[in-house]
Amino acid sequence: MSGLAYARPGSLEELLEILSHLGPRARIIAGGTDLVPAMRRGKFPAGVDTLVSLSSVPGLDRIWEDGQGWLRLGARVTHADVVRSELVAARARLLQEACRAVGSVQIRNVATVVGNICNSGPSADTSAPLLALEATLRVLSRQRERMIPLGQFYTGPSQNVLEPGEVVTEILIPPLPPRSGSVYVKFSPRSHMDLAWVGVAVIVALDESLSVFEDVRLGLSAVAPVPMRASRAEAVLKGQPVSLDRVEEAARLASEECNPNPRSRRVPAWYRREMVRVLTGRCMRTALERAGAKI
Amino acid sequence: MKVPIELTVNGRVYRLDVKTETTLLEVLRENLGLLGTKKRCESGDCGACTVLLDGKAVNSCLLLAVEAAGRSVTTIEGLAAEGELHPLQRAFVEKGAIQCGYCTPGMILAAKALLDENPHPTEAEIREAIAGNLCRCTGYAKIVEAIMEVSRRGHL
Amino acid sequence: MAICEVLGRPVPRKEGVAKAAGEFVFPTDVVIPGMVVGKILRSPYSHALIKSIDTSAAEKMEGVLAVVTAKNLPVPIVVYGQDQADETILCVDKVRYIGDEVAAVAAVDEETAQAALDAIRVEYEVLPAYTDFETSIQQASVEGAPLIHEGKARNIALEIHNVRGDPERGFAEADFIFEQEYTTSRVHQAYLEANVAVAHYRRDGRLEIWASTQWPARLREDVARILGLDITRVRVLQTQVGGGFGGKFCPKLALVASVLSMKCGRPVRIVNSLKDDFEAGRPFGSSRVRVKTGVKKDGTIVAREVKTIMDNGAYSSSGLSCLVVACTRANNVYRCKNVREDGYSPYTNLVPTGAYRGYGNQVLAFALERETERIARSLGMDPAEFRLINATQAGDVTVDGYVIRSCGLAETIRWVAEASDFKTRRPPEGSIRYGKGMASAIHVSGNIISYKHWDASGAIIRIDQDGKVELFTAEPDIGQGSHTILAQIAAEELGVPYEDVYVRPIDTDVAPFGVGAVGSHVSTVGGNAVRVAARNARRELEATAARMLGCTPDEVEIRGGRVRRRGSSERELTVRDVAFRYYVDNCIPLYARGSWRSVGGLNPETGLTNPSSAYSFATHVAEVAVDVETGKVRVLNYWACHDVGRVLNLAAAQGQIEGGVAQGIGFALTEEMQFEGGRVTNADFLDYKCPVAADMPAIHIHFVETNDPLGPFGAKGLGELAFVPVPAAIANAVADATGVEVTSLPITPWRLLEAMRSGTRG
Repeated sequence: MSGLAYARPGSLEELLEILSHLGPRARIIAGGTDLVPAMRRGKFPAGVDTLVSLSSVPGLDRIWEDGQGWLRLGARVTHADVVRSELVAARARLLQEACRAVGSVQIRNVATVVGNICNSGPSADTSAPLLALEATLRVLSRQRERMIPLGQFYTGPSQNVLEPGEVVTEILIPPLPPRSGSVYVKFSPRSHMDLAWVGVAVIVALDESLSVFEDVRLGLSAVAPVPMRASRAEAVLKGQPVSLDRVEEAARLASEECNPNPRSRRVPAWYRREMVRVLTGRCMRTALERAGAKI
Repeated sequence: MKVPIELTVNGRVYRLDVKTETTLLEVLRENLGLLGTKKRCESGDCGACTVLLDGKAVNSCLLLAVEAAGRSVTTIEGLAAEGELHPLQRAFVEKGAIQCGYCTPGMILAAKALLDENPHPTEAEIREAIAGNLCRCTGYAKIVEAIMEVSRRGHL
Repeated sequence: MAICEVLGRPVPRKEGVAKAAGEFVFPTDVVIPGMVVGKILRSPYSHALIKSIDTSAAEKMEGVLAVVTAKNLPVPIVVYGQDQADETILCVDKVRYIGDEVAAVAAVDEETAQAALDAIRVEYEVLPAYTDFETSIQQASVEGAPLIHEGKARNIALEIHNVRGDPERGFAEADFIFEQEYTTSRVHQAYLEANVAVAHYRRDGRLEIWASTQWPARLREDVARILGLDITRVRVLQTQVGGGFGGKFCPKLALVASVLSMKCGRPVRIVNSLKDDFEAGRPFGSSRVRVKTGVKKDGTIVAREVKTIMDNGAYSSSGLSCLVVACTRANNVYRCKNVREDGYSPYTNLVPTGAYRGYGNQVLAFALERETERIARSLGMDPAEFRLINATQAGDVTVDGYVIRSCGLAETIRWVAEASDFKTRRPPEGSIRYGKGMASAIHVSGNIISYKHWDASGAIIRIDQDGKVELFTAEPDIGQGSHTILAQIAAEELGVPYEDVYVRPIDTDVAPFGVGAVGSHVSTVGGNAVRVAARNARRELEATAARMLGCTPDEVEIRGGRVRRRGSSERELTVRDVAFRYYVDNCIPLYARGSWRSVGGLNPETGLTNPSSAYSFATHVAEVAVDVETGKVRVLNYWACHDVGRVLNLAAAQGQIEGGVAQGIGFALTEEMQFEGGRVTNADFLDYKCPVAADMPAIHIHFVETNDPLGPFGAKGLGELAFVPVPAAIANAVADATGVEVTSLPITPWRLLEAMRSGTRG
């Protein structure tokens, strides 16, 4: 850990140039709330010798809606920024709920949503909502731009497809379909300050009669090596009339298709599965309520 | 590698050469001799190291000094104006919200950040705002009372 | 009760302003010129022989000032221990837990010290290890099983066997017999200020130590004895401690820092990281308690059998005294005189165990109070009634020989039963079930087993020429407000304003003896010592004032800092006038001393040892909401009623209970040290889960004042009793809400869910 160099590029071009030049020697620091303790515990990969800061790169701290109605969060947007954002409250309520559930006020004021996603922890609170929102990451390097759907971003616990020289500059969230309701629930033993034992994100979109599932998206975190969509559970509801029985069936399927760590020290796998079942049911009911469902 | 930085702490500008890995907490305690900010978990789980960064509560153990460069830091020592205790400090003393006192600096700053943004919080909002500050002595009861009292009185 | 001028008033804490301003210097803030960094090399194995240690590379490093191992200690190796000698400053030939101290370095900075540790080569031969106490206790009965301490006959550090009355006959006469087994997990005191010691050994002979310790006077004696120094060469200094809760009795850091300083001649500071405090502090041991109770149809308890096993860990620390308390204390809440008490403390290759607020009482209270509610329910009795039938009363000598001179237990039971509306329950709401649970407890106010049967305190008062009063004590303030309370007592007894009394930082060069913040000793024993000293100081003032006023000393009245002849408004002096006169007359400010020793001791009539001068009582009720689909428990409301003899400082007393409730919630629901192969796997505040502000219930507190004849102004202890009944009350509430026979702490959601679904114990 000793003798790390520090670079603080003042523009996007400079940032990409430095990253390209350094390759795997670089480690990007955004908020630093995950990076700093890891660094001090000596958990940096061998070969990293430079921290590259985003602090002086302009234009990365915006939350805005573009011309196509997509919600966009820059790389330096903090969890606190999201909690305060009326735009996010209106466009992606469950993401705001997730950001509010992260850590403490102190953490939220510094930790960035993009940084946390890039950390790629399986229990990151924003991961399940962003998967349900079908978010895309805009990834830049000096050579190219990639648009990576979040569902294709994770490759394993704390692992993703990013390559040396690349930086995620923003998250893009497509507009939600009409007549939708969303919710994120974090289940943990204390009221705050825990990593989620189970994270459940639900978005439902209803038809005009408000009694048929037009779209169902169920994101789960902390119950598999990577954050996931419970696609089998979704499939059993999509296009179907809304009924609590069907919701229960979907919840059961979700608990089967998740894959919690059987050797987890923190929480037994059977319990996480069971909480997926219970909380999926509850989240579905809440999301339906918020969508104005007629059951 | 040593990086030259400029840091404003409690209204004073400091010019320092710091290593990349040095945290703001270390700079405050070891370079600047400001011992009021406390060190404990060094992983953002206890809040004892809380300071205000441009008015917002942050864990100084998680901030690299190089990242705090150019910004304004307020520590517990910077709260009393002209030797007069801040209303929160007074209320903590009066309400018996201080036992061993180790969590107190971080707790007071977290409370200040809350009241600066939300002068009339509900009890639930207070408890959420200080959820990142562990206290092992008080059970938080009188801390919450002290903060409520300041918000009732209207604070500076 | 006498009306007090100072006591009972809402006075601010003495050092409150300094703490609020961030100016207060904790032991972890102490900076001494020339101070260097000490660091400890710790064993990576649970149990292993040390074949060799090569420190040559570390010694040669630039910036390294000293390297010590057991082989090159500057003092002879001494085997020491708190209640039993089985530990050395550094490991001699064996390591016994992951974290055991193998070597230490002093270096100019943190990085160099760490590099030096990394350069030390240790060759180990790994041995089989006992990494859980169940295995250890089983193996302890096996002939030839491997020993953790070769000098012992078997792997048991302590055994206790007491028979009181005639339990066999009691069980024979019982109408019903109940049996159950309870377990609790290892927990950590989680004090926010780290364990730290700064030691400076000077060739001219002084060894000065700054330490975050709960017993500075004893630390001085321990260090002197273990290092082979005259006691007057050792000086322990302290302002106040940032939380202890029983986890800061161990002299290890002070000893290691001292030997490093002896080697390099510089002040050496060793501070534990949070990880160090988890891995190598003195956490509270896990337990298994088997209870058998015989009751009559009418609810009278006629016989009790308690068998307690508590994990000692690798070496004997406060954990041993906790065993004593964990198989006896709670038996004295009720009047049953036929009790059998058995206790065992097996060694394990885990971090040694220490004390935690209650000293083991919380363990037995959990088991016995769970039984109380279970038995009451089985008999169809109201749990409050059941307790009242059996409750200890003033005038009793309890089963273990406690002499009860004041007792408000019955009142505490009645108050919480009424305040909590204990007989009613909220109806279920969706998946939420509500429950209430009660728990009663007793605790000491100082304990003679804390230190060589010498539960005593001394106090020195100095009234300076300006009339300000300074108090010199060795009783630490670890956050409970002891210095504030001692100042109040001094002010009350002297007749001066509270604002004019200062408690000086502890310095064993000038401080008298005091056992320390242990066994809830300070208010009662420390308080009485201060009262005696203050009374003596007042007599000196009266004598001088008499001469100034032209009257006799017993005509002198001192009140609010003003001095006059009783009944006359002729001439009025101030304490300042009198103190200045004394100073001029004597060339020395006014000094007075006082001491007080617990009346506890062997009672020749009963053959039992009464451990304390006074006993406090409390009853608590918890109301919980349990989500029966997830097993998650929330504590909604909490009622606590305490017989404290007399409230000395209301805010401080309430604060103790509010803090005790928070720690009790953690103990009951979320706190648990986790081990894998002997290694602590949750040595941080993310995975070791202490309650946060938003986890707390509304807390309703009431005090009963029984005016103890021996306590200062009638006061008794409170600090530990504030915590003791909490886990039991919460466990009872959860059992009430769910029908699960809760027998294991912490009540984690999945354990509860599993128990609810399978109809087994939780």
